[in-house]
Amino acid sequence: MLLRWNDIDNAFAMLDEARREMDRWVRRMTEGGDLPSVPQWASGWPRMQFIDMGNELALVAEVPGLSEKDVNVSVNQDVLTISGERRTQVPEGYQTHRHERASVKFSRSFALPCKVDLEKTTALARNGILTVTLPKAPESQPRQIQVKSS
Amino acid sequence: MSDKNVAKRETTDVERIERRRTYAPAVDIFENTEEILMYADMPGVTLDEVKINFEKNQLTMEGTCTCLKDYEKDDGFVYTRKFVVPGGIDPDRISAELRNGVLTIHLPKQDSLRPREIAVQAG
Repeated sequence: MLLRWNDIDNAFAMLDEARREMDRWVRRMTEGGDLPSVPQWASGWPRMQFIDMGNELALVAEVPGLSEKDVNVSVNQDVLTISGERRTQVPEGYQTHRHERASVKFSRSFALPCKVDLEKTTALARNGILTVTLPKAPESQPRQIQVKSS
Repeated sequence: MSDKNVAKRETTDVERIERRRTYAPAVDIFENTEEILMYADMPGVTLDEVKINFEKNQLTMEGTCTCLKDYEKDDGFVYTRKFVVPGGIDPDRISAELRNGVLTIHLPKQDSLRPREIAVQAG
């Protein structure tokens, strides 16, 4: 019973496209137009993960088409906020066959679960991936507690 | 003697089946009289991990992202999508660039197919 995993993975790729197709269809029903060129607030984009790596917190966001000047990262009172805007204009003089990459605005906030060292926090935008690394403050670092017998 | 533990088969088999997750990237396709222009979102893919294949009017683009290995315990994932391209594209002049995770492909049309004015003569 050898399953071919590649076939299953490709089926999920088709579901991605089906989901986008549904998004477009719903948008068309509610707004009566094609993809708008003014950026709309997005809730599902960009895809991101907020991970506790042990000695630091990391936020990884997929932001294709955005460079370091297009995203804003800020920390305010233990809340980390990422925001930005992506414009995908139809180029001048071109006819549109397919337009899946919509213009979006986004703003996502995360409550930080522990104290972080703001001086050492870095944010790197490379190849369309934004990685924000927040090293934990010394008092929040994980530590071993020694177990004694008496 | 084969390993009776079915759950561990992938580590004892000689053949390793690739199990990367596959996604279909979002794509924009535009066209004018000179070329067909395509944009594909492939965040995290670098120049050495992207492949574009054009064969018999089928264009296949594939990009692998392994840069999130520190955060996800797997081999990364693959963005792939295939398109049937209409005839009349000049394959020697196809060009592509990758910037900020967005792949841009230019498919120029053959010169013989450009629209042209035909002079009308009095006959």
